[in-house]
Amino acid sequence: MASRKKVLLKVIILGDSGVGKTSLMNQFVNRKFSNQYKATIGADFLTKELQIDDRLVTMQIWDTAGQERFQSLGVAFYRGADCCVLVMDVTSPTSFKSLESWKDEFLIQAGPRDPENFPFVVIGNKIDLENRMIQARKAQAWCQEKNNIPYFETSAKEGVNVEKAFETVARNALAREKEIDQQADFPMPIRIPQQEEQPKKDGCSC
Amino acid sequence: MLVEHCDNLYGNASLISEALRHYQRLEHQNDGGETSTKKLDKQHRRHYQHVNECKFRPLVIEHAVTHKIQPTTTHHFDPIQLRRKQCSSTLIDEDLPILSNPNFLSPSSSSSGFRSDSHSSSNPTSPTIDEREHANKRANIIKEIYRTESDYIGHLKNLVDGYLNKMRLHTDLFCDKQIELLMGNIEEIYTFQQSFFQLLKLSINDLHPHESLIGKCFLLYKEQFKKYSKYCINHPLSCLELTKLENSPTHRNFFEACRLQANMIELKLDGFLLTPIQRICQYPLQLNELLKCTSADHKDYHNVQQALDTMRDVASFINEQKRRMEYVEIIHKWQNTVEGWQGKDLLETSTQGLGRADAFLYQNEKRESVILFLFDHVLIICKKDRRNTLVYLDRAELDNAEIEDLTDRKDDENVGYISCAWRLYDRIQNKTFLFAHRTPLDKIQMMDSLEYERAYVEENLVKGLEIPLYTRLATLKTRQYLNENQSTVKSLSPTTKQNRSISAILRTSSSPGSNLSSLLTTAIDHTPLPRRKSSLPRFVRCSSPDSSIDDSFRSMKSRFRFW
Repeated sequence: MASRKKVLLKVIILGDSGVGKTSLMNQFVNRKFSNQYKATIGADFLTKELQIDDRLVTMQIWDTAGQERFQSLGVAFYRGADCCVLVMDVTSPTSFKSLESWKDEFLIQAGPRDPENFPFVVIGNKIDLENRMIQARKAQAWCQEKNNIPYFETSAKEGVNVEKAFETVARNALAREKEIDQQADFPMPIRIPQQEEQPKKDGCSC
Repeated sequence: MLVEHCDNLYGNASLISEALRHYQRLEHQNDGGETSTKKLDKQHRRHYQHVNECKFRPLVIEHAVTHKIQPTTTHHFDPIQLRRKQCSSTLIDEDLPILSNPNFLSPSSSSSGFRSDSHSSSNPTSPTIDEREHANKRANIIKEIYRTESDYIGHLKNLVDGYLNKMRLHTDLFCDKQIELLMGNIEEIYTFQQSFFQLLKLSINDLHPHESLIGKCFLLYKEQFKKYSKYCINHPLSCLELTKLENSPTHRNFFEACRLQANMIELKLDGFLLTPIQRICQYPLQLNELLKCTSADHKDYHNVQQALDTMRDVASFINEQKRRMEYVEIIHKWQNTVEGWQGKDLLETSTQGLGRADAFLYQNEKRESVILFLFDHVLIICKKDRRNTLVYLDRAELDNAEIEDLTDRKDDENVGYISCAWRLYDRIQNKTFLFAHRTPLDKIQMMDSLEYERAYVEENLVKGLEIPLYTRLATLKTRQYLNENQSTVKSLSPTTKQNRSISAILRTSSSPGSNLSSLLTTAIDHTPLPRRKSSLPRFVRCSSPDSSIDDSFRSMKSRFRFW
């Protein structure tokens, strides 16, 4: 594994609508913020190059755009993600509550190896607003409970902490990649065992 | 270059004129409709004339435009955008009246391909601030739809011109099958999306974008959008093939070379291949936003509303098709666990498992413990042998069957002592089956499932949701081919059952025509049973495509596992 090889990371950004996913992406990639018009979907994806230690990393950030409503189509979207950014709005308790289901949704759909240690980052956005409803402690506690997910409080509007959050997720994804590479170097054939699949005797599981 | 360019425009013009013929038909239908008022119709017709007028205009100004290309400000260089600028009849500079409004321009907007046109009447009375805000918002969404569409066309162009066509030139690297697998029907999609884009462009009123009438564009292309289902069904296979190809450095380099040559952004091929799936999911979102800021008295209101419904349906339809296709594979695998299978393969008759139940089968004065597996069109009767393996016993075809719910009466001539019984008369095979369950509840569930099966088949028929047999076969065959290639080194002892299934697929696919016709006749011939009022059985998952639209998408999370 050559350490200076160029790396492409696929980043998925998830969270309730209106929490500022697109703004965060825009702030991170273009260093721009617009109060004027909230785009419905923003860009499909944005790319940004980052230097992390001795490696040049290209982050490919995918914005959600309704795929989550169509389960079978969503699978394709999450597939092959290297890391996932969960976003909430610190002024909206609902968006905080949704984090859990977004995380589950992602793990179910993406089906990554070793889901326990999958690199997530949680972002509490809009700290520039005055009517904060979710205290940092509360969010932090939630993240700790979930196997110590890094938590960042950002303001996409003022560009606070945005870069740091994305950098962390990239760094963690890189670290994980190394781990997995070291673990084993075999192609995982995705096959479902046919023989063992005995129908259960009574009724069904759903 | 110029000639080629013109050809392209002529091509577009013909596509548009074709589109306009549809448009006219649609217009005609709407005239008869109840929703459209006379005023509405008038506006539409006027708008249509406007579109008609514009049709040939780009050709006239063609030569005068080329030098006016401006550098794009988007995050990537996009050749199609350049061409679009060349194509658009009037290049609007940023100092246009409406654009000078600072609220109007979205930050990353670079598309200024809107044509100025004098036809639209400017409002003589000055609008209130609220109205202006509303109009601005609508204009912004129109612009967003336009801009994202234009970006998307760029991605499609990259896929087709940047990758696909170059792959075709390298027969040493790719065989036809591989190209087909990798790219699916992307060309077909690119073609109609181009003409859709042209129509969209022509439907936008540049001076007063908020007045644009774009709802019809979507209605017009409804059927075309369904072509995405083929693409989406193929997509997992495409991913598999791509992973395989990328193991070879030659192919990896080739893809990278393609990307660099066409000056694409730093996105790997798998990313580009994902954009069509993303786009088809985006339309409903954007239209929803558009509808939100289209007042009920706006001339486009009804069409936007319809367009939203249409695009939701289309996305759900595609989602449902893909889900079903995935399910066909599950069904097929299940069949392989059953020993002594006879008759048609399950994937020839069915696409969905609808329920299972333990039961007794009475035959020749004998009672046998069986397990019933209900699929659409067919009921499979199995039993378990000593090793606990499922063994095929019989089948009942349900398309022309009669089900008789037998009451538990001691004096019944035929069933006498049997309780919880029901009879199935299969007219196609001319066979009668007599079943009984252990508990009344089991029977009720079974009856409900059988009823649901009919409803399911009927719904498929009405909505055209059933995946054609040849698609099912082709996908399975491809999947098998890919798995074979992947596992040749790893597993040297493929089981006999697997061999059987491959040969079975090959056998069935050798005469797709006859199978297909039989499928069609069976699908059409069935006589729906009289409905009993009941809720869906507990163990059947409601697969209504509409449910996926629901905002509470999380309810969709639970996957249907039925055995």
